[in-house]
Amino acid sequence: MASPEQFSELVRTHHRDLLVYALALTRNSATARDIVQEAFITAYQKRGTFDETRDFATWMRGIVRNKWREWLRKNRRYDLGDHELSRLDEDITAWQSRRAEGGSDLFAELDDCLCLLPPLLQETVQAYYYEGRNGDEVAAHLGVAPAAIRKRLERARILLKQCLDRKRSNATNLPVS
Amino acid sequence: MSITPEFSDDFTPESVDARWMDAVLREHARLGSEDDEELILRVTREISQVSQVSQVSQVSQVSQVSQVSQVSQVSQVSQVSQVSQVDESRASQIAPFVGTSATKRHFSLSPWIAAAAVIALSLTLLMTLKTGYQPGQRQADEFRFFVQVMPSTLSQTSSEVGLTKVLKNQSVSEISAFLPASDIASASLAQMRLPDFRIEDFRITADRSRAMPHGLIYEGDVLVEHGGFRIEAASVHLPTPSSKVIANEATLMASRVRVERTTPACTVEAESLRIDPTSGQIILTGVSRAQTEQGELTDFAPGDLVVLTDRAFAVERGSDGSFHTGLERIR
Repeated sequence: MASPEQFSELVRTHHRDLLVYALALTRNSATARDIVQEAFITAYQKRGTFDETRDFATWMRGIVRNKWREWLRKNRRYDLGDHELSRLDEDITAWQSRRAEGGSDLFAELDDCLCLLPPLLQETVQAYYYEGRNGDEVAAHLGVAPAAIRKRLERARILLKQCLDRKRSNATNLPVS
Repeated sequence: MSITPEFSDDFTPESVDARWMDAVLREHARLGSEDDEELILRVTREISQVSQVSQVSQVSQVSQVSQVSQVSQVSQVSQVSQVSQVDESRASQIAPFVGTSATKRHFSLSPWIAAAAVIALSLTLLMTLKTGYQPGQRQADEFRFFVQVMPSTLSQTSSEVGLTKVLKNQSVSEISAFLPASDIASASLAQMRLPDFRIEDFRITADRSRAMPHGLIYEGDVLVEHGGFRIEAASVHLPTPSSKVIANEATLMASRVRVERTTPACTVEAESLRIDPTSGQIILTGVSRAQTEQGELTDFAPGDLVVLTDRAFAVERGSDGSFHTGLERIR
């Protein structure tokens, strides 16, 4: 059974991936953080029942998923189907496995992928995600229609996802555009 | 938990891939590749309280509640939890540790803070026990701060370098003159893997208090009882713990103060006081008089600082940033 010290290390190792996972599920960063925090505490309380031959990351994802379902029951929105949930699980699992094998981190790879975006998409992503503007504000800031911003963001997400998928499968340095 | 979705405009993606990418981008924008130290602290605190701290805390809380109950009815118990982290910019300021400029001189008062430049700090207001307040009565509030120091994400090498620089710039004897043994030991905190905890209790009595956006203000014959210290002040500001620990932030600040420490006996009168959240030190500026068991000290310059801990008394002269125990200048 993990001591508090060992468990803290597990928290440090896995929390960012789980935050992304919870954020994709809930689309609310405060809720995502609450869910991840509660999930870790639940895991700690139930660590005696954890089969150490199993993958800790998988176990944690399951707890996060249960916490998310509890949240869904209370809020009745943003549900995902089983197929979509499986897709999300595939992504998080792949990145967790990659890191466990000593590969680079999801966020470090994202840095690279962001640099490969075409300039127009880069500035849109920068303004929307990194400068905290909403879509309409980004449109005003960049002097284009909101619909154009929506399209640019969609395109940027697709390209970034493709880039990350390629990096995950070690097909690095391919242009994204 | 929040019911309202945070991201719900027309720009929010619906497909699962885009939703995943959206979450990755939002998390990346929030913290980059850094760990979420606040979350880790919150979890660590929870599991540590279960495992280690709860016993001590419970005994102390029972004692405190009992004390309050004797005075009047406990009308409000609230919990505020906020975690702060020493940021890297601060680390870079502290690590060189030259001790000449005003800002750095302040840091030189806390040699172990240089080592702590690479540690994260959690300052949590665990409990507010607000005694019953009626018109005509003095206000009496009690606060408990849970201070947690833990290793940052910076490298172990960095922390070792920081500590080495401190010791090179400041002789061990100088540090020892000021720091209690336990504090010297804490200089190695940056090398610890586990969080270090400290609980600080404050009981504040005043004629009146008011809540401001940045914290609580107490005015009118304010009395702060804090460990072995009794602080009388014209006003006291108890800031809301913020998300960043910056150089001048404090657990508590007071103006026109008289501080008494019972053992070893010491009294200091000064224009202002702050309690450093990292070290717990009481730092006084605008000092007009200090009385210790060895005698009285009155010739303070405007830039001089007096620092008090549970057991130590030190003066830092504004002109050269040097340390004095105060003893050599006592009349």
